[in-house]
Amino acid sequence: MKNVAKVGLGVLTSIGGYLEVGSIGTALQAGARYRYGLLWALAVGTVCVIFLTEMTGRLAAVSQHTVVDAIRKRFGVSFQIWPLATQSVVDLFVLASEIGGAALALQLLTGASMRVWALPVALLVWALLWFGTFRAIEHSVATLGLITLCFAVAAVKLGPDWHEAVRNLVPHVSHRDPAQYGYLAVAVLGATISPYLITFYSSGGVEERMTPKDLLPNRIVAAVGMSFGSLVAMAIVVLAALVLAPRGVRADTYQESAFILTIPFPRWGFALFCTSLFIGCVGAALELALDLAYIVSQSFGWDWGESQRPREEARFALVYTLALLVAPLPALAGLDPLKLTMFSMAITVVALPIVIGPLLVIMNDKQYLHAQTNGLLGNVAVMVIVALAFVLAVVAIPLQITGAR
Amino acid sequence: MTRRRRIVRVEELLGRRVRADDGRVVGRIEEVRADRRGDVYEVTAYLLGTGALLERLALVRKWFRRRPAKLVARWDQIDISRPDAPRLLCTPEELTCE
Amino acid sequence: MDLVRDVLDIRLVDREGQGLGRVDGILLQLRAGRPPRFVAMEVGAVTAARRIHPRVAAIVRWATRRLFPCVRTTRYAPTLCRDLGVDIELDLVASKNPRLLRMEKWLGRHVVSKLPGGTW
Repeated sequence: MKNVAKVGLGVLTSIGGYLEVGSIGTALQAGARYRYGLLWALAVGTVCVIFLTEMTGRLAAVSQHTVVDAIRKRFGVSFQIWPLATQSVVDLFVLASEIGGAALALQLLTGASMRVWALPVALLVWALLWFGTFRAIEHSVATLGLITLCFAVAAVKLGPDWHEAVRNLVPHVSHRDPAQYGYLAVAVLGATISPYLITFYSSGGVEERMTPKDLLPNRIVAAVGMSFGSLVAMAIVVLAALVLAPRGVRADTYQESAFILTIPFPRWGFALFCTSLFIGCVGAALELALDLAYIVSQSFGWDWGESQRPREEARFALVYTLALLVAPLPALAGLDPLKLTMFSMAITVVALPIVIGPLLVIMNDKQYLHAQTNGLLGNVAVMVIVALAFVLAVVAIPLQITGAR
Repeated sequence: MTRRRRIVRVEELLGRRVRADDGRVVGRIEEVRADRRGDVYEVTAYLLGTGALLERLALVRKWFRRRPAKLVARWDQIDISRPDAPRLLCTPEELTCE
Repeated sequence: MDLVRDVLDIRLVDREGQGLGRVDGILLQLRAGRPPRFVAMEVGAVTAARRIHPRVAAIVRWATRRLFPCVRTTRYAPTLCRDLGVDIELDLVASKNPRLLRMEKWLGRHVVSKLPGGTW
């Protein structure tokens, strides 16, 4: 019974915490410009994330150590500085996007400029981290994040062509503006397979004191939670295909897409969209700020843990404090959050191989995983994901140049 | 080349090529083994390997059932006083395999 | 004990589980006619930076002297090791030793406690 409750909570947390500014923005553009044509990218990304989160959760449960701990120990500091530096930059950019997204949501709801909201949003995120515990933050934000299920309800309500949607789950190319198609595919994959998910999930596993008894719940939560979360993101693609595409709206900004829920929900649709965007962005901002503090602290062996008081882990707390001082700057400068998001997704993809690559070694390390090292399926999955990550990293910047418009 | 030192860092030795008197590379230092003797930890041996990247991947060992061979040099068989250029003090044939 | 596998880059913790940093360096003392002696595990930003590149170490040394003069490289004798596992447990208590975790304690006293809610 306890395990069922744990799994249920884990699944709800995954669903509620899945959507954020990157997944919303890329799904809107994908659906608006290519209708169902990029659903396969979400599906592929989700399969990758399921494998990766299961593995990092398993590492945390068996060894009570995180991916960063294992990388530092196995490869040494002269290698580890590269994923640390890369992921820190990526986390900061994505954090800035999330703060911008949340500020924009408040702008849409209140009419006051997002520049006014940037600092209060950052302050809210900081206060939740400073005064809250990991469990309280994770569960409360994820519970609120269940509001994003409104996208799924709306998509079903509009009666999409399910056959067409399912057909587009198979990877294919588009002949209409292939550079832009490729760029959006990369962006969707970057939004789905975020490096911070991997390090955050393993750190969360240690924070929650996962043990080998949690291996099966971890597997279920990874598979079911991420799948359901992905369905919500797919629902946004479907909605954009049904609402934005026929009206010629390209989803160049969140503002022009904000009416997307007013068709299925005339009275509450706009407020639902803005609230979903706000909650999704705040939740992701919490995770990203924490992730930055996790990876720096774990790399250098500092004490870390969201459930501790800030003065007991001063360096850990100050890392996320500094990050939240810097992250609102683009929003304060008025930089469009969607443009920053799409750029962040491209650099996320460039960072992927360097963060995921070491898993090939770590997940076969008996000193950490004992009898729970990867089997054949796990190792093949990691190799395919690493290969995919390398391909994406190579094509991301050229596609950003040729396909971003 | 650095001068001879009394204090040497293990991380400076890691990966360094060990050369025999004839200049031949015998291997790279991959491990330093120590044993406790009373209150003191003393180095007993150095493990030399090829330093090959693939061999260090646990996956290769797992799939090809191949443990990379390592040469074991006793503490008195390698001069590490110049950490950037460790020198073999015996013949390569005197080293043992692990 | 394999120094590279079991000691280098491993996290050090004290008897109370408080993190003391990672082993960034291992010092051997050379003795004429006798085996080298493992004398210290070293924890410090400059030690870690030296492994990346000597120039990085020079920058880190300059920065720590200017910005955090209280920060020092710390050395721990190997005889302090109580337990070798995924972490190395040392036979000491950091909170009782003013020379340990200087930066952490300084930041806690002079920065964190000055922020709202920093003393809770």
